[in-house]
Amino acid sequence: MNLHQIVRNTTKADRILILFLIIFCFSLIIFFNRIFSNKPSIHIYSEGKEVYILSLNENNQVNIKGRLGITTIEIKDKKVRFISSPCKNKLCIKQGWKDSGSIICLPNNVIVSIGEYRKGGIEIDAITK
Amino acid sequence: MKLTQLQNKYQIALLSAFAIGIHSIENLLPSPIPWLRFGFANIITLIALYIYGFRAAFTVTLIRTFISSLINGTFPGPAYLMSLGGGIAATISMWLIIYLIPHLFSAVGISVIGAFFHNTIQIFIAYLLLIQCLEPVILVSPLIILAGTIAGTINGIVAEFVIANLKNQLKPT
Repeated sequence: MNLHQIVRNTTKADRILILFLIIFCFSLIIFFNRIFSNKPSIHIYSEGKEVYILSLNENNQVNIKGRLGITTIEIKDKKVRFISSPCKNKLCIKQGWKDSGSIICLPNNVIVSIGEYRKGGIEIDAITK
Repeated sequence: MKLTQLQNKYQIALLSAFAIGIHSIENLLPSPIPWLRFGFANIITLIALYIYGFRAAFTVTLIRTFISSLINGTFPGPAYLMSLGGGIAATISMWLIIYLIPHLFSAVGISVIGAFFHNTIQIFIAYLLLIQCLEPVILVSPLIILAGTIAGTINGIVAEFVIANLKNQLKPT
């Protein structure tokens, strides 16, 4: 009994089953990838409130009204940056392009956080007084 | 009657020893993703199922999961439960298919079915015990089932090989 014989001995049902499972899995993989590919999203908070949820995959430019004035951010090639900000030090603009984590402008109270959606917005680890 | 019973016990012990050996050596092999293994021990279950029937196969599976988890040091943990659940599911599903529709599938198809149920139950137990988050489970399960199908095919071919040779040897006695 050799390999050739074993392969010939497999029934039609065997081949259909294996073929079906492989095609089924591949289609599921492709399907799920398409569903979850839009997942990385950007959450923008102004003065503690969530004002925008945007997709990282679409190029976009947004104006956000903060405490001091209007902040402009840009989304391009799955990265985010602050273009203009009314704050004094412009630290948020100096951070440049980011594709993970968050950019925070404290004076204008604007938070841009990149990541998956979390219920309840920003989670607080602990507070000390 | 007594002799055959004794023989059965002897054969169950032998098959279990083979299964434990294969399982343990397989655990030493490096794999790209933890828990993604070939499941060569399933060959032994399949052989036991084909030659000695359901009870022998079930006993071999129970002994194999128990002792190899003791050897690997995962005894009461979730890894043991996953191994046990997967093994039992594979054995029962393979037996049901052989029992209900005897000549539809060859050993290759039966092995693929066993691998499929093994994976499904393992994913389910892992979801209940470890992950408890639906999204990664859904994302990863088609990959695991695909790998299981390929591994099951290879196992089935090996099992067919062994079964054919064993049947030739058993015939004259």
